[in-house]
Amino acid sequence: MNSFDDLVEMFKEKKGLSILLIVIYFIIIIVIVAYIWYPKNIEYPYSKYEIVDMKTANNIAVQSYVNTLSLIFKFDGVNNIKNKISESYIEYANCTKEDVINRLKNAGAFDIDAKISALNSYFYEDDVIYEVQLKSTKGEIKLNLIEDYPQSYKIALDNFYKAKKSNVVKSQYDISFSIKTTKHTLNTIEYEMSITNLKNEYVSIGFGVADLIGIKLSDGKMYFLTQTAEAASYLDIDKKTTINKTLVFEIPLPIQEKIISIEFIDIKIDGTQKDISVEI
Amino acid sequence: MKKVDTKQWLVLFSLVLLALIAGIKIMQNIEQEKDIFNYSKIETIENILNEGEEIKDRDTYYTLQQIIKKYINSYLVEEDPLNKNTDTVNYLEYYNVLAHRYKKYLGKNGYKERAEKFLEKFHIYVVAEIETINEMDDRVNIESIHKFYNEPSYICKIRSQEDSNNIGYIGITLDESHSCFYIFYLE
Repeated sequence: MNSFDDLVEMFKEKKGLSILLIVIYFIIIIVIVAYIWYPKNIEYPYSKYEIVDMKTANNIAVQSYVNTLSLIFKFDGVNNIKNKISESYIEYANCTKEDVINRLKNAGAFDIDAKISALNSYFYEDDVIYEVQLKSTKGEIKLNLIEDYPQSYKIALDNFYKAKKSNVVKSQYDISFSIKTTKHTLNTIEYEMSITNLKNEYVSIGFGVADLIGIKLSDGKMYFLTQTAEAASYLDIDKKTTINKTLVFEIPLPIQEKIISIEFIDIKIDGTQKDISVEI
Repeated sequence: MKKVDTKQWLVLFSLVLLALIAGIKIMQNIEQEKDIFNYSKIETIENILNEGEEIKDRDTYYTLQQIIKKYINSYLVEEDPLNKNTDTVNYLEYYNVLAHRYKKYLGKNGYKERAEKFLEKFHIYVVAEIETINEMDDRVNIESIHKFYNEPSYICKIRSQEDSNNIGYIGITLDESHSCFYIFYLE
């Protein structure tokens, strides 16, 4: 008989004990493997975190900047502010940093009683623009904080921001559209639009009529126009004439990157109704 | 033929068990050697940062900022052995929040030493005639965030706003499925 048969005989004689030993043996193996292999990370209340959404992030940033600017303007303000003035603004406004500092001084920005409050914030390309107002007994002044990364910002005066390059589309119906994105906020997007009627007769576009002008997203969803600078139902554009309109759409900021076109529906051309799509 | 008796079978089973344990350990060590976060071999964190991808995502910035702010403030929270199950605890309790491998590498005393070295960079302690200032500079200014691995693990470089020479690094993994974070590096 070989050793394997002896083993079989042994198991037959001490069946219960043998099975128990084998089971214990494998349990030990599994426990040891589990102990070595699997990390033990238990959740504790202080290990919890909340994802900061864009709105909360915006609130945190605004509060931080208001506090920081208040301190900078009150204590050792001039040199600190000078270093933070945007070069793009200097070029745009055709002025010097000294001019900017003088304007701030005249408005009482460096006075001890100057108060800073946040007005608005919005994205412009990869930057976030924070509009801030500085008020003192001498006067008031608006600042733009142009943030490229949290806590990394430059300062400009007034409502300075660069406009996006305009899109020009000429439709097959001889109507030319020039569209420029001018403002993003957390819930809206604003366009400046020029429409030129190149035809020899008038066309009508329903600016004030519901569901006739909309933004199309990459997933096919439409957001329709909520307001224009002037109220109108159908606007007639005479032949060879250009009109300018400001269009505001209520679209949440995270969705704005999905915008692909502005859709003009049921434009009255040549006595018929046509749809025109302007890609953005 | 020579018979294999019971004792020899027991020895054989024990050897198989030991071989299995040794094999698992060797495989773990090989895996660890390949990992850029082989803690025993990290000389300077700056070299490691180049292996990651720098990100500029604002949502991640503010999420990490809130976590780091809470951790920094934990330095001055009173130790309370009876109340460890709250949101606000002493920094020593964060030993439980270390990533498994980091916890094994540091041990409790190692963590205490590392944590104190890191947190002291943001500690403002000034003894003056009228009052003593003892507070944490929690105006967390994250200079850069580097992302590692496919899971969201980040190394944040933080500069103290009180003393710009004080720079700290903290590595945080976000377990999004459980909304928990783990600290995997401190310097």
